[in-house]
Amino acid sequence: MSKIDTCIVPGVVWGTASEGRHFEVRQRGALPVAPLAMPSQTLELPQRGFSRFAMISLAQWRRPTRAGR
Amino acid sequence: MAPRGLDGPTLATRTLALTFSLAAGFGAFALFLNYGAGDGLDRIDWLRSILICLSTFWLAWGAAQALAGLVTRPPVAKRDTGPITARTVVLVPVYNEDPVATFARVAGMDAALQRSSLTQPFHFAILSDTRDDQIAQREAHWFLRLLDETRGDGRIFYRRRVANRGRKAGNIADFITASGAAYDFAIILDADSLMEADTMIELVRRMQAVPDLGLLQTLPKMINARSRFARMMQFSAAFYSPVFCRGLAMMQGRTGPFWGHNAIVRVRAFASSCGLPELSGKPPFGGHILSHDYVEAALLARAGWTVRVDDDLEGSYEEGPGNMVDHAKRDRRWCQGNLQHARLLTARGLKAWSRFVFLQGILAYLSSLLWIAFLLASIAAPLFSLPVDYFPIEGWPFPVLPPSEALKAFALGVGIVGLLFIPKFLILADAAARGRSVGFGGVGQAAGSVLAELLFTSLASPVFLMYQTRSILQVVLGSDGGWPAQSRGDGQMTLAEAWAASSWIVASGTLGLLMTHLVAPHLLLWILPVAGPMMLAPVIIAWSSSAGNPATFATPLTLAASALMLEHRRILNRWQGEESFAQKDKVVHAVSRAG
Repeated sequence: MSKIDTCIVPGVVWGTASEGRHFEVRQRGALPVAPLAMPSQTLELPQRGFSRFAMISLAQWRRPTRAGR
Repeated sequence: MAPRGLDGPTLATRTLALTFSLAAGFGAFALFLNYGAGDGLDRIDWLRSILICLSTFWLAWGAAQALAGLVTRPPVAKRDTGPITARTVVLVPVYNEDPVATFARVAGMDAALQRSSLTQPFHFAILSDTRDDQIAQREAHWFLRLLDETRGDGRIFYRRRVANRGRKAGNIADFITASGAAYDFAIILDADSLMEADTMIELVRRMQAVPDLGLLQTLPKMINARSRFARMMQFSAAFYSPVFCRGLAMMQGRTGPFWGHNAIVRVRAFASSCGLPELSGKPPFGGHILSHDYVEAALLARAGWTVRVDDDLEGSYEEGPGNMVDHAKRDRRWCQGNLQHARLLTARGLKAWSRFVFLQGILAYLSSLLWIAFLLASIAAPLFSLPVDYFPIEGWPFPVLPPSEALKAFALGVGIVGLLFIPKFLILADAAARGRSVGFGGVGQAAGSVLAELLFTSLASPVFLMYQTRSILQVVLGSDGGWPAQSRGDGQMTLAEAWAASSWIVASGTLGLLMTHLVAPHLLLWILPVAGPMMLAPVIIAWSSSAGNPATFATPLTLAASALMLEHRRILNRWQGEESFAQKDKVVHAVSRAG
């Protein structure tokens, strides 16, 4: 979780517990505190064979173009 | 979630659409090859035939979607008619947007929801990724004003991230990891989105009724367009898009789309399936996933959740770019995002349809390259053609002229144009028969708008073709477009501004016409509909960015705005008035202090 800036008007408590969930807002306008895990999904296959060859070839081909700019 | 197979109607629609598109593609291939064979087949004829086959297939696929939409009706969606028990949050991600306009939308939607006397109130969370400190200060100011005016304490929230890691997808993920457990559903909007209270409640009822529904997408209608270009887009979105969307809904089955906003998600499904990884390597192909919405839809489907677009849902709105250049800038971002999906085509476990959607997104951009390649190959063809043998029969004293193939080329041209135009005329006929055209000013006015739209898109397409081609080349050559803030407002451009943005298109069109004149003068008439608009690009861009006749491109919402739209406008006008008064006051004080 990145650092967030929620300090609008500090020191005011809003919100209550609801349906057994922790739900509390400690500052005016601040988001409720109720963490939920969001695991990172696997999408890429390890590069092997042709795809690895293609990526390396593309990188080789691009290098002079980028250096020339 | 347990995986489930395809249902009958989905499979039938996909099969028919694919058969139709393949038939059109191969028909065009055969016809063109036959045309090319008139003066002897050479390699360039084969190349052109393959290019026309791929391009026609792509056009036919779009037409098939419209045809599927015309011949089917949306099924009655399951909905929970009991009390709303789920906790729902409306997420409004913002990034250097005008806070007055965005927060006025929140105020309008909140007021409409308050009138619905829900037992379980909807919350709003404004998720700021704004990097501009001045805009951030205005956000803080207008948020307090929003709270005071709506009495929204404990119901409307705001936070600004210090670092906008992962862009918009990271912004939403940050909310879910911090506060997601407090909610069952999240309605994800864009900064320029607006949604009727009844629509939001209906979304929740449909989600409550189907426990395996992970995401439900609405078809947003464009609103508040002022320029000719924006009004034309607004008309297209209102008149054609519902039919295309119906066709899409028929084809996709349970593997539907997510367009990034104006949709509801089941928070726990989204959290458990949609955590996006950073791709290896550098942008544009590596790094954060740009077009995250397509990927999130694919990931939900991979986890066994149903993803659906319900085309019968009204009351979902968005705004669009005011001119062609802003549209092209947005398209540049989409182009990079779609081409990046090439990295995910082989991702493990994805549904075949999700892979096809990625491929479709890539082809949507590559088709521009195919057309350009076809045009260039056609201009260059005479350089490669074999000399005509007028005396093929030995001893025969009279010349034998090759058969004229112009009719075949003409038939092919008509067929390709037909794939573009006929679906739109069929939609017009359908709207007239079912009475839908009444909302567009009647049959006559709707027909006028359709003709104007066809004329305008014919002129604008070559210009967009060039912008798209440039975008693809930039991405392939490794240039990252970054994350520019979206331009909003009326977007009027002067001729000088339009020239600055399109002089290279004018040069390309002029060069193309000159080359045709030198190499293949018999093709001048065929090239002119493409090169002509390119040479007139600045005029087309500037003209279309100005306000036109309000009667053209009328839509139901331009003829009668909804109560929510009027309320938003009222709040916006009042707040803008206050802000401009405060600014003037500040200037007066500064001047008097200086004096």
